[in-house]
Amino acid sequence: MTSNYTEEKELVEDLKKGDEDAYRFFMRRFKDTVYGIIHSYAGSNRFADDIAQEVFIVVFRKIHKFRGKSSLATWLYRVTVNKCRDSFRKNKMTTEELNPEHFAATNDDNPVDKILVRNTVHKMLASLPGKYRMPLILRELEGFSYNEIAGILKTSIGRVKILIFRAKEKIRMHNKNELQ
Amino acid sequence: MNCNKMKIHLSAYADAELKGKLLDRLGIEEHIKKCPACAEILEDYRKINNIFKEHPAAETPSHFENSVLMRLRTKKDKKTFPVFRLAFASAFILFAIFLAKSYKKNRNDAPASGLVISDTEIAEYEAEALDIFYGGTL
Repeated sequence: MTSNYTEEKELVEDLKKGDEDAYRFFMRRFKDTVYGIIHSYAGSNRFADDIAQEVFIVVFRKIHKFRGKSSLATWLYRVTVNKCRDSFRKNKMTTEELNPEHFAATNDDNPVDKILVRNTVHKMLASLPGKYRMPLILRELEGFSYNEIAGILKTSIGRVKILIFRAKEKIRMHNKNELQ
Repeated sequence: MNCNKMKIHLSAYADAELKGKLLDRLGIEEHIKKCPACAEILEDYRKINNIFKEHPAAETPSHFENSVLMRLRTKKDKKTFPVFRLAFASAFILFAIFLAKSYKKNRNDAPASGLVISDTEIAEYEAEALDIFYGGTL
């Protein structure tokens, strides 16, 4: 039976013990956000799946180093962001434009307009440099506050504010006609 | 505040990140009422936000958790592998040291190669000595 954790401390202790129920609980709780961030950054399921798995493997293997200076979630998302950047830098990957057929194949009830929105968003994101793309994803797709983003990216709220502004300004300039 | 500076705050305002006293101090709402260009920019930022809001969440594959746990176990196995390699390397080094020492010992026990006299050479020497003794060819 899978455990339920109300206290983060308790979860961290079980993760440190290598408890499989704790691993599963942790993944169920966070996998969608981690996968979402990577998927939006990579623009491709092919890479997202592999990188997201690596994020959890790194977290489970390095959990003994977690000292609780930030929340476990912030630590996880920081690993996610770093893993995303490293994977792209190391493999010289570029964001890929999404193929609507891919989504039609993976999700039967995905209406065409959802695919179009998805493609529009990914085109917008793909046009941005990585340093603008990540804060925008965290904010607009994953719903983090500027304060939370600052914690994840280890920067100031002011810088987050400027990065998100520049991202939106670039999108606005590139898509003037579409926004009318 | 001029429009260029205002634009930075408009993005955060569209994200509902500016509230209370800060919002009053920046005077964003008053500025928008007076400046149609900034009002238009704010509208664009809101449209961008709405496009992102409509974006459907990506679906995590159903095999995700099992794949992670399987890879984790494999990686653990890999982690133990270097221990075996280290043990093997240590054993090899010890064996090499043992071989080197026993070779050195054998070398010390053996006569120097220049001093080794073969049986043929001894026989020749003895024949020569007899010849000298008995006056032979001399």
